[in-house]
Amino acid sequence: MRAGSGSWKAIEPVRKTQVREGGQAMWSDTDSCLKCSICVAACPVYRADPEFLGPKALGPDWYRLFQQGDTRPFAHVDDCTFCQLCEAACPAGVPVAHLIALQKSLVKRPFRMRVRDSVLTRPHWVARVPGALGLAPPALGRALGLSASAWRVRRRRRPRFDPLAAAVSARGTVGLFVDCFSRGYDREAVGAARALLEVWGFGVREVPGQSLCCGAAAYASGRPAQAGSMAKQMAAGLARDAQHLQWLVTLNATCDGTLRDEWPRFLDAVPVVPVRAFDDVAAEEAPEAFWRRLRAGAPHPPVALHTTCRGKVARGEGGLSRLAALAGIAAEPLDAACCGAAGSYAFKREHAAIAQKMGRKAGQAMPAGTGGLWVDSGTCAVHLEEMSGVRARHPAVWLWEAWQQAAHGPATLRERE
Amino acid sequence: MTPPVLVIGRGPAGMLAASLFCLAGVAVDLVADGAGTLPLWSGAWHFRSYDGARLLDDPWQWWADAEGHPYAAWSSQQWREGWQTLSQVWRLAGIPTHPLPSRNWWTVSAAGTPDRAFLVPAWQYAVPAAEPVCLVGFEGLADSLADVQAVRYSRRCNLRAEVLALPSPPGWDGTWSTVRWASYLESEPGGAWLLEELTRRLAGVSDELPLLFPQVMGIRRVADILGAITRSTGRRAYEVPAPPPALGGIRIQEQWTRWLLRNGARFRSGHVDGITEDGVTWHHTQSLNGAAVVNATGGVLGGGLAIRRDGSLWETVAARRLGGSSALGQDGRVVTAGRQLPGCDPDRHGDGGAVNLASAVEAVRGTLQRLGWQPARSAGEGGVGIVESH
Repeated sequence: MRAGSGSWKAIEPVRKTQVREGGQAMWSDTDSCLKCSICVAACPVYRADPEFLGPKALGPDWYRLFQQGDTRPFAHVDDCTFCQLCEAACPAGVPVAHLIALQKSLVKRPFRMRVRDSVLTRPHWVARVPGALGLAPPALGRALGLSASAWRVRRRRRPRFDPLAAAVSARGTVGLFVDCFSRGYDREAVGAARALLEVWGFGVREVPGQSLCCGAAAYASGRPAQAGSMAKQMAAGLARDAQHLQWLVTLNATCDGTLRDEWPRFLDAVPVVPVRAFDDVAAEEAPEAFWRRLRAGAPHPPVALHTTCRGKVARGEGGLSRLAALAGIAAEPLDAACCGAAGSYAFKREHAAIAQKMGRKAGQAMPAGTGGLWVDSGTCAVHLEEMSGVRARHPAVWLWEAWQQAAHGPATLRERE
Repeated sequence: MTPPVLVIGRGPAGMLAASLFCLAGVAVDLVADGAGTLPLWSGAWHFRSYDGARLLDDPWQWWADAEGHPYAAWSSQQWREGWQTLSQVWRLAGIPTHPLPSRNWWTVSAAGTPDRAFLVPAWQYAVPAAEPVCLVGFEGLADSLADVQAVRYSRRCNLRAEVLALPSPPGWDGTWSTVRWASYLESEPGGAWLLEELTRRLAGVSDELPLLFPQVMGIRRVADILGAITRSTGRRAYEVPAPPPALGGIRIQEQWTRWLLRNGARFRSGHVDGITEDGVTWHHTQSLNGAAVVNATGGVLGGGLAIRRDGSLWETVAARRLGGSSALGQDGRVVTAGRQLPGCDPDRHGDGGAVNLASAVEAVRGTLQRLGWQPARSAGEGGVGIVESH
């Protein structure tokens, strides 16, 4: 069942550096696998992709062979979205997803895919010139192995700032962590989160001051060493830009989990100040008067909530429901484990079919009459909106619109694309 | 704002305790490291299946006469209300069951041995009296050995057990786990393939026998698939447990989690490393506040935490005692739910379901009492209030 056309794929012996990439202390629990298969039950790709061998075979089972010196990767290991639901499910602490990422690092890919992945695994480059993608001819994208989804991403502008909202920053200054996707394509979410934090009485600084990446995309694509150096670069950037701030608030569940869980455990980096996800900050820091006003505002149509897979892994599920309840908005959790977007996964041509299949399934789970979808990740929002036709935005955008509506009557903020 | 009650663990006991808090209108967070053991379980609850080595027909009588069991004092009325509450929770969550029986149901284990069980999901074979059966096997489904099961069943029950062997489907290979089988069988081509094979091969099987399939008949669409089989063959169709990952437990986990989320429960990921007066410590000694704590971990897989007979709490891997007993509530005990309670031996007695149920009900009732909270509506003495929210 190894790579290639049904036979063993010839692959060069693994280089020393590649072994070192994964050969850190992170592998201490690898042999504690109980063979219980709970990881297989948790894997969303295994259900959608008949060729994917699943987390048990690709994680601990493969690693046993690897330890015996067999460094060949299994076929279709790249189909893993790195959602990490397998690893979160494991009762024995086996780093299942990270073993799979190590295996991905041993896959030999054609030159054009390596070129493409060099860009996709550095989303902070893309974020610096977000318009560049639209200028490139689609034929070039196809040649490089990009999926059509990559061309459909639109930039959303920052909402018009409401001067009434600007309050005294009586509660000190906090950092708004601007992830690569939000920086390049979703200024709407950044603007809304900033405005809300200011309404709640905080001064806000957007950090890091320059476009940097936490390393999540690189790790997901099987480039742990690159992820490590990117993480250290960003940690240095945060140490410079955020050291005097109280805490950082994240808008993207993947970056949030990467900073808090993966940095210290796998990437030898630590954020300089505590990291908190937007929905926790909203529920814990927004004054009661804010929620009262939202609840007193016009009734909102019911919404669906999607806690992204990495959000489930890092923090769990139910945080978005809590926000919707505080705001007096009827909400239904979307019945989907992973939507298939998985950062840049859906932008790769070889993954388009699986990503669409997972996304369609999530779209079909949308309850009838849903007025909108709350999603704690920009790329997932784009994918789910495409798959379901329901407007998908970050919770900060929805809350900001509800606040505007409560404060000024009909919404003044509309999607401007 | 009052902090939520914290339930540690996501197995059957933790999910049930959390559900009971939800129904009583109490905010609850389920805190767990790992997904819980539900995918290792076919989904049947056992009241009391054994008396010594003998299979028990009447668990009610056994409990009425019980001595020395931690729940020996539970009255028939308490048990009845407990089981009704559980089956109601499952009905609300969309998990269909056979009706609660007056005697143990007869069912069949993964090995083919006759087994007794009490609250059984509708997809699983459960009948009031053992009868001749037809065991269906798929070529290539690991450990699905219908012929071995049949020999064992007929030897133990002294009843006829026929075998219907189905081939492996197109595209099958040796890596298929039960989840892949189920994904295939609930796909359109999978469903068509199954019905075609059944029609072709059913002629040799006696007319009246129920068809017992291994538990791989779809993930979400099990009722549709078994219904379609009955419609097209005119026979009763059920599942019997198969090796893990167990589809029964996966279905239950997905439905139950969703219902809890819709009712305001929160699932929080993280490793709990201690229980304090104000909640728990987790993620390396960060604190998480809770109005009360129910420990429901340490079950099938040993979990992260275990309760000793003296009520002290231990971390099982390093055999380290956690917290001082003064930190563990008024009497130095952690409120605990789950089948691994001291004084219980569910593997030998076949009463794991009863212990899970009774300990969860007691844990919730005791917590509500201690906090001075009344359930929204009491279901009578011993019961926990049920609010029909949907």
